[in-house]
Order: sequence, then structure tokens, then C-alpha cells
Amino acid sequence: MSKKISKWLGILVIGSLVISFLSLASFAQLGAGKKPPVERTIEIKCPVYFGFELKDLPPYRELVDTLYNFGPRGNSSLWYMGWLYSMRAFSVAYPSIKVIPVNDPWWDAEARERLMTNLAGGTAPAYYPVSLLGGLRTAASKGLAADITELVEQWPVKKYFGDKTLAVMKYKDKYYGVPMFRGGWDSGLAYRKDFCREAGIFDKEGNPGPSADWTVTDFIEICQKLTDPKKKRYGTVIPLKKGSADWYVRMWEFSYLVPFALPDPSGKNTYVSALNTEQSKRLIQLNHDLVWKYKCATYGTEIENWGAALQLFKDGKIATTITWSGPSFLARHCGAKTVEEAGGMVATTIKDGKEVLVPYSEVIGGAPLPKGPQGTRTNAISPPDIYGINPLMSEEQIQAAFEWLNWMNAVMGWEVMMRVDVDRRLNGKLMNQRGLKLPEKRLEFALNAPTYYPMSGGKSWLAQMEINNPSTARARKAILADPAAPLPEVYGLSIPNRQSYLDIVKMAVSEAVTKKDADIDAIADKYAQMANRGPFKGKDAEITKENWNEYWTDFADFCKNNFPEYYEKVLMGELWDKVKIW
Amino acid sequence: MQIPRGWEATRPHPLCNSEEKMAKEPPKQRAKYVKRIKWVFYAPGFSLNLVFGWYPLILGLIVGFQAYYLIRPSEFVGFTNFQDIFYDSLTPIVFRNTLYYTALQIGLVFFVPIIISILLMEMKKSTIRIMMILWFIPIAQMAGIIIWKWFYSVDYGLFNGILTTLGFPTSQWLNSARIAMLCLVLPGLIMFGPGLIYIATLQNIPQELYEAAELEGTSLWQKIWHITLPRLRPIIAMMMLLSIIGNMQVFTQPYVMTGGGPGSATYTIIMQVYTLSFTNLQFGKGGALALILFLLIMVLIIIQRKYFKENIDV
Repeated sequence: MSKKISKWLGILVIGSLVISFLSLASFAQLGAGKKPPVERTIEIKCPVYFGFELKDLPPYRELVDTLYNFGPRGNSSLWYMGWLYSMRAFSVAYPSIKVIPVNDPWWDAEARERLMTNLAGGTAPAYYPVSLLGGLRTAASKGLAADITELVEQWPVKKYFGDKTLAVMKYKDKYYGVPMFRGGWDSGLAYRKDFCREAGIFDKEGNPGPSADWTVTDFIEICQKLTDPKKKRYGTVIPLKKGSADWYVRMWEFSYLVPFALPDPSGKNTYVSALNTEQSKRLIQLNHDLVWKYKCATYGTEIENWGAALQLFKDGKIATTITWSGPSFLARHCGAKTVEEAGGMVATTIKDGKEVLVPYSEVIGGAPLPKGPQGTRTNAISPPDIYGINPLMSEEQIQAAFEWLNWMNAVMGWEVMMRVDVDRRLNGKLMNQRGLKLPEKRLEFALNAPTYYPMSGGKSWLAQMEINNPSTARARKAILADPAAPLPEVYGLSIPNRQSYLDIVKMAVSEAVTKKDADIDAIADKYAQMANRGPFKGKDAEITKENWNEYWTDFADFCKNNFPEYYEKVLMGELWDKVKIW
Repeated sequence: MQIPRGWEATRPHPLCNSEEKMAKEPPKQRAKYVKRIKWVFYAPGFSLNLVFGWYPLILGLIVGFQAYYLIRPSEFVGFTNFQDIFYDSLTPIVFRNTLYYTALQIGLVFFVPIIISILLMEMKKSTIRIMMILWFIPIAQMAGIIIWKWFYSVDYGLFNGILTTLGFPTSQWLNSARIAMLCLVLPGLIMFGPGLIYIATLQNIPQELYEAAELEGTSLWQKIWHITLPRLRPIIAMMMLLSIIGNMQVFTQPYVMTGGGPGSATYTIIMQVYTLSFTNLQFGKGGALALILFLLIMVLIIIQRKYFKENIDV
């Protein structure tokens, strides 16, 4: 009897092992993920950032009024409730599309790994920011974003996007993404109004802070005035922690006009790093001198761009910090007038000799980036982030996801959140991808609204900034007035392994800043070579000399017309021989 | 085996029955039965090890020879990934940094618990207990690393604050390429976990050996050298092996504290594997680098096993 039992046990164990292996083999990476069957009701999973149930929503009118009066007030749940309202409206407008919200914040530390795991396992949501996958170029080239060219070509909203936005949606002339919103992020500088007032720093209109047309020399001078060693307060900060280098290099791109990359003259690779160009070395030298020569900057390998640097700024340890979406970010978070409304958007200041917390609007101002050494500053509005659509879904699901993104980000969902009565809206003409028709008046209204964050009373972006924080409006106007340089993506050029390259740039700055007697030339050469032998290694067969010719010719014309000193000294004097490979 | 009283007329006891049966069975059949049945007990642990241990390992090794895409079929590329790794100028830097970190760990952090444990054994038992409680309280590693990171801050850190108060010049700590790696290693000095293992071993050394040595008139150092250390040798060998394996794969401390900086001074192999795989989506290159690391660790272990014998009689 025991022999029989053990025999059957053995068969059972071996059988289950075999089945397990076969199941695992079918999940193995060699095959594409399983495509779900086509159903009458198309289900798509959409990332939501808070686990709100629809039943938790307050009355619609109350929600809209709250959003209008304060903007996002630290507790962003209000805005997301508005988002969920739009989702409910969508489900009524598109009864065949079932939207399943999944709690998947894409800004947290594990978002990238979570997305990759989900993609490999076939459980990724319907769309995701391509920035998590290294950018649109990487996502598209590795088949991680669906080709939606046909859908975009028929998209009436497309005509409202500028060339920059369209360029970053494309890879090799095909569309692989949808912009998160119509506008773009502006890069600028946040500064402490209270410290500027204290130090006697005022702009031409008498407001505390720098003037909109300030230069790097002004920046150094202001930082020195704002530095107080006794209070351990510094004019600015140079964060050196690896990661999130993207916004940190804004001064390179917009103030110093350091090229994004140069063509490889040998032809073995497509790109070579511009890190060891003279203009690039000037900027590395500036970072070094801010610490060691002018003694007006703090630094640290433990300080990362957003978290620690922003905290030091809020705590009053530094007086200025470069920030992504400078003015627009500040405007969004300066809606609150009291500490209670502000939530986490508060800063520390000294009043009557005591440290107190105050809302952002009281002590923080926004400024454009300072102009570079040759008086250069280009329009610092970057193209918006892009959503890629999950390529593992069926054609119907991809189209459903596109409809959803159109609803939420382009026009419809925004309108619902802004003002429109849901019942009236849904009784009117409903949109679908095949026959997108939105009454022009509504379209104009919705498209002139600010980005996906709601603002009071449907005012324009700039008008709202005037109310929330006038310095940000001045900064925004200055940024909008700056000329926009040609975008390499428009010419088919883009940095490969961008994040990795930016990390190397940061390594170079880190090594320069942490050594008092740093040899800038040697550091620049070392890390340029590291970039050339690492992220820039490889040849893109589709990039030809014509691509380079078109881009650099247009860029030269742009510089000649707008920044003659830069054109003569830097472009023609230092770069032209390196870039003219045609 | 005796059948219990009163059971004679009833059904025979199954155990007694099977034992009698077994006793009647020829030895070969018994051996076959034992051989078959033991797999029932091996199977769960073995299959878990196979599925979650060996399968990912082998897959990872294969990925090193492929252009691996998350959802598209992979392509075999031979040694291209390895060529790219060797061509990358960051590669020698990460290998140098990792070996340096491992050497510092072995030299500074590895031997300290051994010394502490030996010295502890010379104290009273009550003292030993108190010291063990104080030093071996479990510390959440990540929390400790984050706190140490801010201790090292140049302008706002505790250490420079103490130095300034005492009138000494401040240090760059994590911002100095010369000492950043040392700063990463130092927090490990307060983690005396391995000391527990050494103390347990030391407590098992027969006291007669020490008594005999005392009668011979040996000094403390001679007792340690000739009695204590040889007895600890097997444990030290094992712990060194684990230490090499663990430290060559260091990721947490540099990632959290410095991000690999200043410059590339604390950028390690596993950080580069992470960057290649999860930042650049170049899983093949990441796999190739991981395979090279695997081979390097094997070489180090072979060297360690050759020159550091466990056998106390050798």
C-alpha cells in the first residue's frame, strides 16, 4: 500500500514539475506577451494615481468650485477627483469602452521597474509616460510603444500642436506617442523674495528679485549678495546626485547653447559628445567657480535635483534653485494664500526674529534662466512629456486608449473638469475618433485654457499667474519672448540613451565641483570620451549628412539673426569645423 | 517489535505489519523504495531552487549573448555585448571601484567583529551579555545609510558640525574622490551581526585547551594565535567567502549615498548593470556585464579557497 502511495505521489510531483516548466516556458521572454481576446466591451487599464472609488466623489459643482478657487492646494486629491469625474463622463460617452483604473503613480522611485516588469508580464496599463522607458526614441525603437500614425493623422487636434510637439511624438517619421498636454514645461529659476528684499536686490520695476533680462554675471553677483556664511545660507545649490539630470542641464541648453551632440567626423558612430567643447567647459568652470572662487554655492553628492535641493530652498538654506517648469510650476503651487490651504507648498522664513512657515506665494518668486556669456537665451519651453500606448493590446484596445487620451488630455476631459455641465455635454454631440467634431467655440476655449491643471474661472495661463504670483507672469512673458531655437528632433536627430548621457554630464560637473584644483579640460575630455564609448556608441543608419546639414544650417541662421556674438565667437569660431561634415 | 496485548485477535497494527514486511523484504528492494521516496521530500525545495534560483540565473547568462527586448523576440548577437562592455571606458572604472570597496570592507569591516568577539570572551559573562545586546541590536540598513548620508553633508552634516565645534577643519567626506569610498564602508563598522556567529563559535572551544596553555605559561596573544584563531578558521573562511560575494555586488550604499559620485569615484559594477538594463534598456549589455562579474567572483573565490584553508589541521 505504501509503495502505491509513494508511486502516485512521485508521479504527481513529477507531473506538476513538468507542467510548471511548460507554463514558465510559455511566459519566457522569447515570445511577445499574450494579446487579450477581442471583446464586445473593450477594456483598457488606465493608470490612476490615487485609489479613489467613484462613489467617493463629492457633488460635481462643489468640486469644480473648489478647484476654481484654489487650484491644486497641496492636497492634490481634489484634482484627481475631477479626473475621475471625467472618467465617469467618458464611460457614458463611450459605453463600449470600459476603463479600469489602476493605482500606478508614474513619478515614484519604482515606477520604471514596475512598468518594465508589467510589460514583460503582459500586464502593463494601456498607456504610460515614455520617459520611464528612456524617452520616445528608446521606447519606439524597442517596440515598447504602439505605432499610432494612422490615428494621429486623422486627429483634428493635431493641427493645434506645434512642430516641437509633433517632432517628439515621432520616431523615424511615424507617430508613437500622444502629448500629455498641449503646452510644454518651461525651465527657470526659483528665488526667495524675502532674501532678495533683505539683500536689497530689486528688478527694474522695484520688485524683489532679479530682472528678466539678467545675465550670468548678474547671477553670480546676486548669489554672492544672497550668501550669508553665518546663517549657512548660500546663493544657490549645485546638486551632484546622479539621476534626474534632465532639468539640471537646462542652462546648458537654453543659456549657453551647448550643442546637444556633434556629428562623429570619423563616421563610425552617429554622435559624439559636445562635453569637451569650449562653451561646455565654460559652463563646467562656472559651476566650479560658484563653489570655490565666488563661494556662493553649496553642493553635495547627497543632494539630488528635486528632493533635497528643493527642501534646502524651502528651509531657507539656499536662495535660488534651477527648477523644471519654473514659473508654471510655481504658479500652480502658489494658489494658496494661507498655510492651511497650501498643504505641503510652504517655505520657512523669519518674521519678528522667529522661524515661521508661510505659503509659497509669499516668499518664492520665479525668474527666467540668466542669459549666457554671449547674451544668449533661447525660449526655455520644452516639448511636453509623451504618453506611449501599450503595443501588446489589440487594435481595438489601442484605438480605445487613444480615444481615452484624446478625451482626457486634448479637449474633452479638460472641458468637463473646467466648466461644462456633464449632463448638457453628454446630451450634445459625442466625439469618437472616426468623426471628431467639437464645436469650434468650445474647442477654442478649451485649447486656450492652461495645461492639465485647472485654474480659477477659466482664465488664461498668464492671467492666472498674475493673480497667483506676478513674478512668475513676468518670467513667463520673458520666456515666451525669447526666440525658439531649432529642435534637433525636428530634423530626425536626438540623443541616444539620453538619461545615461546626462548622468555622465553630471559626473563631469560633480568631479569639477568637488575638486578645488580641478583640471576642467582634462575632466571634460575624460567624460566626453566616456560618453562616446558608452551611450553614444553606435551608428544610426537613417541619419545622414543631410540631417546634419539641415539642422546646423538652420541653427546657424537662427544664431546669426538672434545672437550675433555667439554666432561669431562660438558657432563659427569654435564649432563650425567640427559640425560641418557635409 | 512486540504486538500490544489485546491486539492479537484484532487487525494487526499497520506499523508493526509494515516493519515486519520490511524485515521480510530483501535489502535491494528496500534500498529502491528509500531511493524513490526521498524524492518526495526533495522535490519542493529542489523545484523552488530550480525555478527561482537556477532558471533566472541561466536566463540571465543567456541574455548576455542577446539583444534582449522586453516584449519582442530576442536576437542572438554573440559576443557583441561583451565587446561593447570592454570598449566602454566606464568599465575599468567600475571594476576598480568595486574591487577597492571589497578590499576596504575585508580589511576594515570584516576583521573588526573578529577582534571584538575575541576581546569580548576575556570579559565577564554579564559584561559579554550587555555588550552583545548593545552591539548586536538589529539595525535597519537602509535607514542607517540615509542617516549616515546626511551626517556626511559638507555644510549641514553632523560630522562637520562636530569638527567645526572642536576647532578642526571640515572634511569633504562623500564629496572627496579620495575618501568617498571609505565613507561608504564606515557605516558597516557598526553592523556587528557576524560577531554573533564568532562568539557562538568561540564559546564552543573547549576550555581545557586554554587551561593547558595557561599551565604552559603562554601569553594571551599566543593563546589567541595558536588556539582561538585556528578554531575560528572555518567560520572565518566561510564568512570571508560570503563577504566577497556580497561586497562585489554592492549597490545599496553607493546608490543611496552618492549615486556613484563624486564624478565616478563610487560607481560600482552593479550600478552600471542597473543603468544599462533599466535606464538604457540595454538588457543584453547588462547581462553581459553581470556575467563578467559572476566569473570574477568565481575567480576570487577559487583564490580564497586555495589560500585560506578551512581545515584547522592544515
